[in-house]
Order: sequence, then structure tokens, then C-alpha cells
Amino acid sequence: MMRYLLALSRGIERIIGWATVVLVVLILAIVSGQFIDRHIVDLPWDAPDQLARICIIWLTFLGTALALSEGTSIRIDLIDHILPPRMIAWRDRIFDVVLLGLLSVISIKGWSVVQVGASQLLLGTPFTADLPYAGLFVGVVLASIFVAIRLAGRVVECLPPIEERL
Amino acid sequence: MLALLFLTFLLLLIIGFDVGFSMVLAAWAGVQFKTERAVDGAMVPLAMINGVDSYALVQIPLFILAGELMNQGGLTQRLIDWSQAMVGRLRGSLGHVSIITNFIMAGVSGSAVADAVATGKPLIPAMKKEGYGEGFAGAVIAAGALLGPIIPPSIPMVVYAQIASQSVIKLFMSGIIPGILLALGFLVICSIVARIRKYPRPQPVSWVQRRVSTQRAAWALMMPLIVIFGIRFGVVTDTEAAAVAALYALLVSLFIYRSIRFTELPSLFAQAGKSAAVILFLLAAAGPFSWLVAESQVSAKAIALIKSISTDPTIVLLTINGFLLLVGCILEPLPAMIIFVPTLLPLGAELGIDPIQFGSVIVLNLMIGLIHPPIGLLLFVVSNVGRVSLKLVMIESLPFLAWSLVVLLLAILYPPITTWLPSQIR
Repeated sequence: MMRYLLALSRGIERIIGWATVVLVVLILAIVSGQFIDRHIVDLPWDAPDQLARICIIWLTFLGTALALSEGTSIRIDLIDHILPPRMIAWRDRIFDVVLLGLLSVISIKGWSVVQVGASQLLLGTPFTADLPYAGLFVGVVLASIFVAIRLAGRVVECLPPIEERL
Repeated sequence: MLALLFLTFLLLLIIGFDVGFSMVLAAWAGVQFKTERAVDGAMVPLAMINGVDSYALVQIPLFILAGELMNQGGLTQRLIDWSQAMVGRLRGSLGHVSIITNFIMAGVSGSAVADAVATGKPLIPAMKKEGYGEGFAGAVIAAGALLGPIIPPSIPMVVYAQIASQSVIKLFMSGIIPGILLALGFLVICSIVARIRKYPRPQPVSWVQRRVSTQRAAWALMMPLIVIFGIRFGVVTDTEAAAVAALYALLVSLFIYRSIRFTELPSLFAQAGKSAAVILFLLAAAGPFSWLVAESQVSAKAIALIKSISTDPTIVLLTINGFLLLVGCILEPLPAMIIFVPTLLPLGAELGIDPIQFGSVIVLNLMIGLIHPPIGLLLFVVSNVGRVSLKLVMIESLPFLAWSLVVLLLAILYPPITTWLPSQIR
């Protein structure tokens, strides 16, 4: 079971990785385009800054999900070398439970924000505000999946082998 | 109650909960415990989105991408070769090369860690081979990399500008003089240490060799000039400068130096995106957290406490800096900035401290945290990259740390160091 969950986690990581590449390329293209628009030739767009902001919001939350999965998000390890490994393992499990709860609440509230955004036009673009808002929702849902799989892995690790349990 | 939540948040940080999510969790709990003028929980995700919904922030992934391309595309190596040729027969010249290379790279990348890795990888082994002390080799790279976030472009200054609603360009310009002072002092320290320890003099470099290395590095040398002069003379906006830097590094690496293949680009872009997202998420989390700071009256209490010490702006700035140096002992610069700047901003405004000087001094102070024990991030990075003893790096970094503190003190006591250049921009 854990093997399938880890494969799922890696698959999602790969998709987010490519989405990150596309978003950075889009940001580079939009900002460069704005320079070209100002100095060289008029481009057929009204609000490139608005488009770049949508990309930044998506990049932030997709990248955060990826950072959580890869363990590269910022945390302070002041007491890590003081605590015994067993206590660190329990602390990490508790953190994952708390984080999962927080992510679930944010995703629920985030979805209501997306629904509100559906009626707000983004001036100069064909989009409504639910497009950028959905960046948070998708990112948080993906982060929840990563944390849930990580927690499952940590719980399985703490259980004794199946023969002992029987 | 809300002040208690603020303390709970600090406790969460110390026991190792993710910094960004600690802020979100504290804000979420604040919303739940607020009894007067109740706020809907949807405020938290909305404030997170608003925290990063800013066009100025597109600079962060783009400057990181420019730095990645410079390092992978061999532009950094050419800068090192050029610095070596220019420094010539100076005793202990590799120390000077490290500082000069980092100084030039600082004009493009804006990230201290990226600069430390890029210059540390080739230069620390080279210094060790030449008989320099391994601790000194690490310390000089860490000190050089400190220039990255102080000389424009600077990611911490973009972050500060976003939190404090200040001009990014003015903040960029405010870092130039302190950056030059730091670099000059570091060069002097390298000379003194080299003379005392009798580090070797390199082989003489002919003018022909200097010309050849300048030609080889010409494209890389032009990069910081394009960025800084482009911004200064209004050819590009600060945001466009980031895109120009990234595009320039991309084109030079792909078509002129031919040091990067197209197949390597996705991983470079992905790396830049991931690094940027980690920073951007802190800003997203700062959105709801700023609400908690305001609601819990932490700012008002901090202001009252500091004003009870003095209302003289200089003494207040010194007090704040003393406090931030202590904060830098346990927190990394960006989280520290995001947590404490919203608290300290009203104080600066109330006492009439120039917001550009205030921002510049805070950035300088928190960046010094990168090289001061016990958690100076750059010390860990160079110790890891160069495989040198952390303890030795910490000891050898003390003269550089001392000079950095002198520059910080000068920036506090003599405001034109940080305000004169920005005042030249209209």
C-alpha cells in the first residue's frame, strides 16, 4: 500500500515540477514582453502585469506543495540536535497531524474564496479572480495529499512488524 | 489572548514547526479566538493570496533564475578567472578574488546562498591547495557572499519593499554604498591576514593574459552593469531588469559560451521556481500574520517598550538593531524580516526615521545574521560546500563580522550612507 502511495506522491511531484517550469517561463515571457511592448513594438495585450500576478500566485502555492513534499520548506532546527531521535519522530508525526488539519481548513475556506472570485472580473484580461484564487486551493489540496502520505509513512514506520502485532 | 497566540507562534517556531505555516496557524487561531468584531475564516486564505498578489514580486523567481543560469552557464567561473588575472601578484590573492567575484555577482543574483555555493565550490579547494587556512577559505567566501543581498538587486530588499510599501528601486540604491564599504573592508582584512600568515604570492600575470581573460569574461562583466545602469537610468524598471538579467544569462550561456544545453533548461527553471516559491510562501503567510500582529497590539507594546528607553531616533535605531542582531542568532533573515518588520514599521514612522534608511539598515542587520554564530546560514553553506570545519569557519569569520558591524553602525549614525543615492532618483 505504502509503495503505491509513494508512487502517487512522486507522480504528483513530477507534474508540479513541470507546472513550475511552465510558470517560470510564462513569467519570464510576460515581463520580457512588457519591455518589448514599451521599447520596440506594441503587443496585443492590456494587462500583462495582471497575468504575471496570476502566475506568481500559482507558483507560490504549487511550489510550496513541492517544498513540503521534498522537505525544503523553511524551518528552524534549534532543538533537533538536543532531542533524542524517538522524540523527534513523535514531534514530526504530531506536526504532520496539525499541518494536515490546518491545510484541510484552509482548503475548505479557500474554496469559498474561489467561489466568490468567480464573479470578479480581472480588468484587462479574459479571466475572473477565481483563476488566481484557485492557485491557493490547488496548492493546498496537493500539499494535504503530500502531508497525508508522509504521515502514513511515519505511522507505518512506528508500528511494529505485522508478525509481532499478530 | 491574541498576544498569547503570538507567543505560542514563537514557541512553535522554536520547536521546529514550518515557519510559514506557524504564521498561518497563529493567524487562524487568532481568527477563532477573536470575540469582538468577529472575522470570517476565509480572511486567512484571502490574506495569503493578497500577500503575494504583487507585480513587484515577479523579480524574485527571475533574479534567482539569473543566478542559476550564471552559475550553471559558466559565467561565474569566467568572473573568477578574470578577478584572478586582475588581482595579479597580491599576497593571498585568492581571498581578494573571492571578494571581487562576489561583488560583481552581487550585481545580478541577489541571493547570498547561491553566490556562496557558486564561488565556494572552485575557490575553497583552490585556497586550501595554496596553503590558506581552511577556516579562512570558508570565512572569506561567506563574507563575500554576504554582499549578494546588499548590493542591488537584492531579494530581501524586494521583500522589505513589499511589506513596507516602499520603492524597490530606492531600496536597491540604498544598498550600494554600504555594499562598497563592506567589500573594501573585506579586501583590507584579506590583505592583513595574508601578510600576517605569509600566504603565497601567485605567479605574475602578463597584460596579454589580463586582456585575454577580460575578453573571455566580457559578457559576464556586462551583466551587472546592464542591470544597475538600466535601472538607474530608467531604461528598464526594476521588474524588467530581472527579466533582462535572466534572458541575458540564458542567451549568453546558450549561444555565446555554449555552456548549457537546451535539455538542461527545465531543471534550471524548476530549481529557480522552487527556490522562489519557498520565499514567496513566507510573504503569503505574512499576509494573515500581519493581521494578527495588528490585532494583538504587539506593535503598540513594542513601541511603548522601546520609547520607554528613548525617543531619540538614533538610540531607537540602535536599540532595534541590537534586538535584531539577537533575533539573527536564532532566526534566518527572511523569516525574521517578515515576522518583525510589520511590528517595527510603525515605530520608525512615529519617530520620523527615513523609511529607506530604516529598510536598508534592517536588511543590512539581518544579512549580517548570515555570518554570525550560532546559526549563520552562510557559515553552514561554506562549511558544507568546501568540506571545512564549521568551528574554524566561525572563528575566522569574526574579523569580517566585526567590520560588518562597523558598517552597520555607520549606516545608523550617518544616514546619507543609505539615503544619498536613493535621493538622487526622482
